[in-house]
Amino acid sequence: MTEEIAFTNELKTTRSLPDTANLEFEKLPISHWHSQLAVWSVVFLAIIGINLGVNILSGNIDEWPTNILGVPVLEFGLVATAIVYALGAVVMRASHEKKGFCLRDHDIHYQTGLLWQVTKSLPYTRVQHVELETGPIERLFGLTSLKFFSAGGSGADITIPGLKEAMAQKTRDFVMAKAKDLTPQLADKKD
Amino acid sequence: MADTKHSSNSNTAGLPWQRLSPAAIAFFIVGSVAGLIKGVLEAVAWGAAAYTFIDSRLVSLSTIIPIILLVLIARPVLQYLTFRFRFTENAFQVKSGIVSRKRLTLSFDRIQSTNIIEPFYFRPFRLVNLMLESAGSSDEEVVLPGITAAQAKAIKQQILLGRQKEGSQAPAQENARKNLKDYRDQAIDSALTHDEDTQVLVHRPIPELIKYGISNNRALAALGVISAAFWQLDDSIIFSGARNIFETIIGVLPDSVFILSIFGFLLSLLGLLIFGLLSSLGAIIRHYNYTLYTGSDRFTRAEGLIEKKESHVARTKIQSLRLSQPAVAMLLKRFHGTIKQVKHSRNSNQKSDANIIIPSLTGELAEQVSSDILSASGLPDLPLNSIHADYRWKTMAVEFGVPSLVAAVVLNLIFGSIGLVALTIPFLALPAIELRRRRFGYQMTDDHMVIRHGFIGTDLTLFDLHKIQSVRIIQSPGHRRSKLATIRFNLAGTRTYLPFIPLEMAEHIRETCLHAAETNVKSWM
Repeated sequence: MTEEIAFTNELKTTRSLPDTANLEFEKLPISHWHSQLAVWSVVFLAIIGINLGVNILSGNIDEWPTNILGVPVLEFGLVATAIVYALGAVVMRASHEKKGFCLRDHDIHYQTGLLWQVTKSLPYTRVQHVELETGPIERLFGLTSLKFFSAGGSGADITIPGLKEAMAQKTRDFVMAKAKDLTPQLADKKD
Repeated sequence: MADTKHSSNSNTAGLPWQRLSPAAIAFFIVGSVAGLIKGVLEAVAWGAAAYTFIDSRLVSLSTIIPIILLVLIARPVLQYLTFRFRFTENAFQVKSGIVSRKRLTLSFDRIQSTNIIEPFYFRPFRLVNLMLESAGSSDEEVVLPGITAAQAKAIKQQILLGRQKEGSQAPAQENARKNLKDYRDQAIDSALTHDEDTQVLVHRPIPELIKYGISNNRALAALGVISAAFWQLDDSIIFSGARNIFETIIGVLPDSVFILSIFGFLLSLLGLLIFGLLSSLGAIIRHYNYTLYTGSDRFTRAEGLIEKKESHVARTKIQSLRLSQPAVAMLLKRFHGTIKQVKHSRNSNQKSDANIIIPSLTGELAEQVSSDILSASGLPDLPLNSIHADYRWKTMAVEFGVPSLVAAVVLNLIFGSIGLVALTIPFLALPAIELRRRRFGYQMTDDHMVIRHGFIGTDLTLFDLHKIQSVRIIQSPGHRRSKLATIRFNLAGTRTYLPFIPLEMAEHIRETCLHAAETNVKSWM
């Protein structure tokens, strides 16, 4: 027979929700998008630079047409490059807007994905360990990734990227404290 | 260099270190031989190198043979000499290693299962190997070879007692240490008491093992591999081979392709029969005298013809039960059960024995097993909800439509308009897609989840809701338009999912699973 403890699972944000199934997610800091934009800029410039370099060194650039669709090749190239770059940036921003996490009394949730939207949910009582991971780009922006592991898989069950370091530590401490508090609570009830 | 490994903090004071019986050397020799066979390619490579660089074969043989003997005899003896084990208050400790010394502390609460194996070479001496498997990794797996069955039972019981003490907040240290000193007698007594407490849940006689042999998924997979290899042969070889056999047996050379085809068909049937016999023989050797016992806190499985094996699994470690019914098993009206325990996929060396197979169950037995393991009756027979019909159109469009469109374009360029025939593939696949859709099913009770997958056969996964580790809800753009979602369940022993269910239902299932995981006082581990 299953015994149950008094159960509440309020949202830990400033916003209250009438229905706990409708999770409301806190967005990631805008600097996360800035860091992604920095990566995108470096990759984009590298692709353009390598392409131009190869064409210049091989002499192929002399064979390029002077006009494309009636527009001088330099102007056409600049506009096309700007459009592709802006498109990448817009997609990243839209993707950033979809990312968010939600802490409740008993569980943590993380949402991600622009087209395929995924919501991951992990009870605190199942958290095995938590990791803070900071890559070189994230370090430049003072950001860190927070990873939560359970016994349910080979990798992290939830990875929240691009959190401010203080925020990541605070969230980690909150979850670890909850995991510690709630598990004995169940064990006590069991005894 | 010392390599120390601790699975948890434990009181290191305990009984003095003990040595294994000298009979354990046989186990280490078998291990060495197995290791040698495993590395046979390397050995061949080294041998070839020796033959290339050393002029005299006599010299090279005189070098290689002592090395092999050293590996086969000296190493096992050294392994035996360096192996020590003992109990502490709450853990089992092992010291081993010839060059690199390893000290493993395996706390009782981390021991997932204890297996008693009686290899054929120990049978005349009535000795067994005791294998302790942790929930973590195979690095934390311990084998105590060449001990008596009574010793194995005593140690097993000591571990159970230790685990119970840990679970109920261990008594005073003095009492615990006193208990440890005479653990053997106590443990043997309580092991016998415990055995009386257990009862047979499933026993499978040989006819049932034969049914398992011809109907399990491994047999089908092996048959698939053999068939694929057969069709790799050149047609003319098969044709001329069949003609030769026909001529030898019947005495005349047939001219008719029809007769040859009939003969080929009969030959295939004979091949299937031989395959069925071999597969059944394998099942009998592995699962001979299969008996699954149920007790208040654990299950015990005993099986094996050449190598007798007895495995013990704590009830709390069980994560889910799978009842599979491959196509042939459907015809035979049998289910093959698998009890899934905690598994860490990070560890590629994890033994498949972490899962307990229950072969060839009738519907009634499957229900009994399910009731006993999940403490709920009627789960396998619950009416199941179907997934949404959109599954068939999405699968048809994405998994078949896009590839066939690409194929049609390529084939059209190569062979002309005949290549457009590829566009019919999604429509031809529709019956198969629909069959797969109909196989999906789900039902959630207050405490349990039942999920069915399958194509020609079926796989029913049953688990306690509180065993959930984490849950994911996934929505594609198409899902969002139809307010549908796919839900994925992560358990410690397995993963499963349900595609194309209503979003509202997915959210309800998620909330119920989380609630169970967060409030249920039963242990998930």
